[in-house]
Amino acid sequence: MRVGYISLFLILPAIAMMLFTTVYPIIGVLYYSLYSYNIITGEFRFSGVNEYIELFKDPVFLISIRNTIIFSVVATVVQTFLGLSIAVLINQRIRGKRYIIPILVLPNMFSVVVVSSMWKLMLDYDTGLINNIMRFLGLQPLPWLTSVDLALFSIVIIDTWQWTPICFLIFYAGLQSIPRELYDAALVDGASPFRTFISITLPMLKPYLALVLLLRSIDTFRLFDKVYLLTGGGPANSTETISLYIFKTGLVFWDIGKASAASFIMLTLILAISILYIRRSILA
Amino acid sequence: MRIFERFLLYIAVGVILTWTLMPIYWTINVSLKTGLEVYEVFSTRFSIDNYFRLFGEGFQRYLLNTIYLASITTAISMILAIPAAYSLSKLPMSDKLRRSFLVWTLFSRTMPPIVLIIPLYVMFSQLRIIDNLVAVAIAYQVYTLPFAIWMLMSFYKGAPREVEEAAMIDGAGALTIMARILIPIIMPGIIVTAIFSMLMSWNEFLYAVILLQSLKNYTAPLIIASYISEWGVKWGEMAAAGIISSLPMLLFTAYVQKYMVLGFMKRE
Repeated sequence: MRVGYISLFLILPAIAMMLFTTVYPIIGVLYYSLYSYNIITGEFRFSGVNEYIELFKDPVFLISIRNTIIFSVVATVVQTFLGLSIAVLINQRIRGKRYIIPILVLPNMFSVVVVSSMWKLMLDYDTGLINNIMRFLGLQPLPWLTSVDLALFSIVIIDTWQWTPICFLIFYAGLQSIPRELYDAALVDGASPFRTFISITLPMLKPYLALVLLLRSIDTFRLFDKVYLLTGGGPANSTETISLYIFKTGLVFWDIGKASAASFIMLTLILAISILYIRRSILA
Repeated sequence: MRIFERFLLYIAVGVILTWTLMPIYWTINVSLKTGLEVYEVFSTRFSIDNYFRLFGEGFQRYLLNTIYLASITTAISMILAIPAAYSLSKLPMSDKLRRSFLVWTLFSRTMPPIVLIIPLYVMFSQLRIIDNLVAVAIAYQVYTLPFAIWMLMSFYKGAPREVEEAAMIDGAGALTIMARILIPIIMPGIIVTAIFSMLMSWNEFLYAVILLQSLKNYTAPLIIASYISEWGVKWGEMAAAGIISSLPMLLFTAYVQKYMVLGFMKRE
């Protein structure tokens, strides 16, 4: 019986911190979203669902939802596919693997700000390495970060450079966990490499695939840093994301009510993935 | 045919390595150039002027801020997570509490950070602790605390039961077992977890840019971010600052590499 109190006593400080940093903000978002609340003007009055109605009348908010979903789906699929392909490739007999794997993981060793600055140097129209190479090859240089058609695509490239290594690493760990005997048996049965991949590798990798898909969709959905640093959401809102929209509304224009309503919508949009993630992690 | 296949394999590996290393090579290259040389793809003249200028302009102050912030963040997380993870993984507790706490920590991992910061910002500004590094360290618990609890739980579960049971028979209480027996056993795990939380805080940008306002409190990522928007004027210094601020990450990685997969599954 005494031990029960001790366990409670040991976990209580952590619970208090979690209440403060996560439970309070969620309740806060719900509460403020029902108010017309502006820090600068000092306005604070109950407005019901008015902020939500305002929000859905705002074309920029709708564009930000569209951009976020497009980015999240494309980046997740591309990174998962590349990560899996590279893992299968590196899992072959290759000389110097011990040195190759740490190099492949390098991009993820840099913070998002450093990654953004690196790609600013790569993609700048006048001085960037990519356009320099394209000019050298006699091609037209492209306005990677400043064109409506290309900007979001460029952000996908940058995110892919930074995060494919982690997808690779998780898949590689998965491949290593598959017992060799399964492949030996397939070889004896005369199965083709493709057939082996479909019937052995892929089913064995399923839990890792689920993990990568979940983690990448959660993380890409919150895209903020790269667009804040490299495009500011432009040109013409083509890289505006929900996170950036909430940031601008709440912390540039100080419209806390509207920003909270947008936050609450963002939470509900990610909820299905949250539930899948929680169920998967609790079972594991 | 075999030879041809192997040839293709190595070509593919070469392409992937080039793609991976290109931006890193280019950044190092730019950091070693001054003035118009920045525009040359291949050039043989190098100088470390950018690094000198960076420190001449007081970059060390921002590095110190970053270290200070990372240390407080990690200290708070460890003080809270070491007992909490022990309690969750080793002690009898109401199943409902354990389960709801764990579900909530997982849920918090999926919450977009921007959503949490709006109400926190309102509260911090009412308490007048905006632009305060300790306040930022508390906000960072959003990322580091659930992560540290999950990491440490897996280390506690890996500790051998026999030693604990022997101590229990000798009449040692739960607190003694944690402090005298388990913490020394899982010390390597505690260090790995602490390194990961240091790195998270070291690299964090969103909360820093929102909660820190005066230049004297800026962290390294905030300074680098301010270079990005200065349109080419300071790109040499930006590249140098990026390289310098990434060194701790690169050094520590060698140490924590074994735990990378585990860490990244639970990391932001």
